[in-house]
Amino acid sequence: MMGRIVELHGDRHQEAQSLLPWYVTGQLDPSDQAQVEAHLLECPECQAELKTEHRLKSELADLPFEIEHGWTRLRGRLDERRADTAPGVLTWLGAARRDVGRRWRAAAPGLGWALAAAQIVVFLLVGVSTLPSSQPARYRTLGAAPAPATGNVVVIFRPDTSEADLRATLKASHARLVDGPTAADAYVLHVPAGERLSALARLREKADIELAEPIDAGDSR
Amino acid sequence: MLGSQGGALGQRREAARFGSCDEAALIGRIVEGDLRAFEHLYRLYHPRLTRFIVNMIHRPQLAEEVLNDTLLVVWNRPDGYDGSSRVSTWIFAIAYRRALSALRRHKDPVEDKHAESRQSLEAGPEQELGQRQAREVLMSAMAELSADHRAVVDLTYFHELGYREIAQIMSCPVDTVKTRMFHARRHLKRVLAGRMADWL
Repeated sequence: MMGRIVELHGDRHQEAQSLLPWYVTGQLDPSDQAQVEAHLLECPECQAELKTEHRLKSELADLPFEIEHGWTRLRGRLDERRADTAPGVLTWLGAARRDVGRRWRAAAPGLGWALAAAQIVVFLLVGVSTLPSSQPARYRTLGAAPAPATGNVVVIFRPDTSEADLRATLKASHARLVDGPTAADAYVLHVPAGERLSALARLREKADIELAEPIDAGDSR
Repeated sequence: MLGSQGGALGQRREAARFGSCDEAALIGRIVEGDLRAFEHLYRLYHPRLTRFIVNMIHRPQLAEEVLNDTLLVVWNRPDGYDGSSRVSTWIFAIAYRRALSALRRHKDPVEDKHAESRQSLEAGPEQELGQRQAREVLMSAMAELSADHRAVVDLTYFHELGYREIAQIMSCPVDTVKTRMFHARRHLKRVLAGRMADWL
């Protein structure tokens, strides 16, 4: 029903009408752009349509749909599921990498160390992602325990990071150590809620940080 | 609502900030098995793809499955990107096909197949409707469109893609994209005009 072609005044008018959405978003080719502009000059109907189009575009582009309503609520669950599915994903990734790796090593034998490094990253990610399920809610429940602060960031330092560097990194990010090292050598940190995004950004810029992620979804945005 | 606008704008700005050359370089690293590059791409595309998929299939509970399927294809077959299009076109095309496949597997009705042939919704009392109500009307009208029509509307207005790129994503002729857009706009405007006398 909705695929039916609708009769309009004429080819140029019909074409201009059909192109208006992309005229409004600036996505037309130069020739189409010139065609629409020329028609707009002489067609009051399309001029009125253009005003409507601007409003429709503005409303639709900012329409939250489910993504900001329902999806925000779902996001926390998504994060958990991603963690749960990571080992399966990584197992599957491993098979793909073995194939790619064979080709890669054949092409560049001296780069085998990089594959080993990638495997270390995989191992660390698996360790972190399986931590909540293998040790149920080890840091998620700290808020309920008589601990002074609840962890809201998990980090993994590079293995050769010195204690002095670790301390300096924590201080620079206004972070306090809540737990760790875990079985995956991860540390759970607490950073002030209002500073978490900036703290994560600072942590990720540090050369001695392997991974820095939020560990609860509630106030991460 | 300000937060949601910020989120939408933020997604577009993030997409614009990270250029297509950078994305092609990421794909190159993913071909070499670079997990960090894949994680970067995941984070880059997660918001955009989530919005696209949720809006298209209107089943939030399926969106995660489609999203993960899509990005796993990217990891599994990065060599499927041949460089002839933008990376985003390739990834959105995968997401579109996966979303259609998910819709076929879950046929519980959520769409109003007769929305187009019906007259506009009953005109309410001619009173001022707030922005929130306008959005609710628009969301309701969007829900009445088919998945294909919603995809065209979303890719055009939110993701700001051209009709040629949308045609590539949806594997259809350019004229089909224009026709879908024409009918979708007509439906949206009809519903809005019926419900909100001052809207147009």
